[in-house]
Amino acid sequence: MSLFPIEFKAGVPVYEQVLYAARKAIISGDLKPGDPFPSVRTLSAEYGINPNTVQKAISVLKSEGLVETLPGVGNRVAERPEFKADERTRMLASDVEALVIRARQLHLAEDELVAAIHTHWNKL
Amino acid sequence: MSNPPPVIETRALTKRFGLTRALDALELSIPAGRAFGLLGRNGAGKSTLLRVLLNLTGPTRGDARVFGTPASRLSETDRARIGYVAEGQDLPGWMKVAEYLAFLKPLYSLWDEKFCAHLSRIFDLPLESRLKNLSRGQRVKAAFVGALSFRPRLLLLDEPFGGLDASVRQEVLDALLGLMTDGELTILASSHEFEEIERLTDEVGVLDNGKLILREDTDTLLARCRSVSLHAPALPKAPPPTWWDIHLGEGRVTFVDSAHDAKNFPAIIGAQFPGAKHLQIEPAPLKVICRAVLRQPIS
Repeated sequence: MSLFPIEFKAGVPVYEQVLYAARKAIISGDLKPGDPFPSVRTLSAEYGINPNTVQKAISVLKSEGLVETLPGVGNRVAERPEFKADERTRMLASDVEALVIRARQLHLAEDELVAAIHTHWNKL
Repeated sequence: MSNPPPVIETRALTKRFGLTRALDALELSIPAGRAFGLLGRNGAGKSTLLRVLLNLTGPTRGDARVFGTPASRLSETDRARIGYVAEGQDLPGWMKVAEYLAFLKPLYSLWDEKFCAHLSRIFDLPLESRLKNLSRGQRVKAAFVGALSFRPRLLLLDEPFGGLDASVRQEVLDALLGLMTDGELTILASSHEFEEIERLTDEVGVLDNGKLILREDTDTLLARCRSVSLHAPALPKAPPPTWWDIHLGEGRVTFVDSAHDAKNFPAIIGAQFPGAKHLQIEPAPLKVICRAVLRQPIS
């Protein structure tokens, strides 16, 4: 079973942390389309978290088209849906805004933020 | 089809001990399959609530229902579906662990001998030792095996993790999560172990002087709260009421922002604290939120 790493941080909703880690594993290619996606039981047991919370996160991943359930087989990573460029940009808008707000708070210059994005882009 | 009744429901539940109101017109309802974390200071009424639900003590006024029936009138069958573990619980010390489990077995029609053996094994229980000779952690594990082996539908836990080392805590938590995944287990747990409560619960409530002063889905609560600190010479005259436990010490202001709005926050801070410096916004762990809400004057 392919698990993905989660580094839990107190004070951040567990549900968001599971979602974040799963999205990261799928987007970065650690989990590839067709790979089995861990079950509620596995994730709950492995990370010591409430199964209802895991279920909620998996539902969101399914609604995003990142994970699908095959009857009798279980969950697996879905083939990636094709989005148009402007759709993708729109999906990211609030995350980009949050990032810019945080960067300005920290008095980061625009080019410093872009450089940081660039570094992470190449790391994944 | 009508919805099944909540597994736990209290209405205007009041319990007095002399002049002290341990529970004060408490309204609480917990649906099936949820894990509810009960937080609050010692003496807030948490243990009393659990004891009323177990019918170990009766309400002074109001109503406490379990599985839709008043706690005082639960059938033997329903009673045999409730597991209870409390810190420092009285166990018959002269009994060996195996004898204790054999003694419990006939009391619970749904006792699952295989599951009992499985739990005893993963908890590494010394079955031939007397309970009084066990370490604190081993005694709690023995109590948990006794309370989980009949696959309860409701678990009432009073400080179940208190004083346990991390590995024991993890074993107990794993067993609880396994049971939750298996089926409709409802848990009401009072605890000061906030990290466990963050991971285990769907919902938390803060009890203070016998009243619930906060009740919310754990994830929603964590999502809306941030721990904020900044350098400023003075506190604002009228800070937003959603800022909990705001105070100033050595030039540093700290508070919990309970309605965090990342987009507008810099502007709000600018208006409340002209010339503020070193603004830090961090996730607020449940422990910090709980402490802040308890220090907050109740409106």
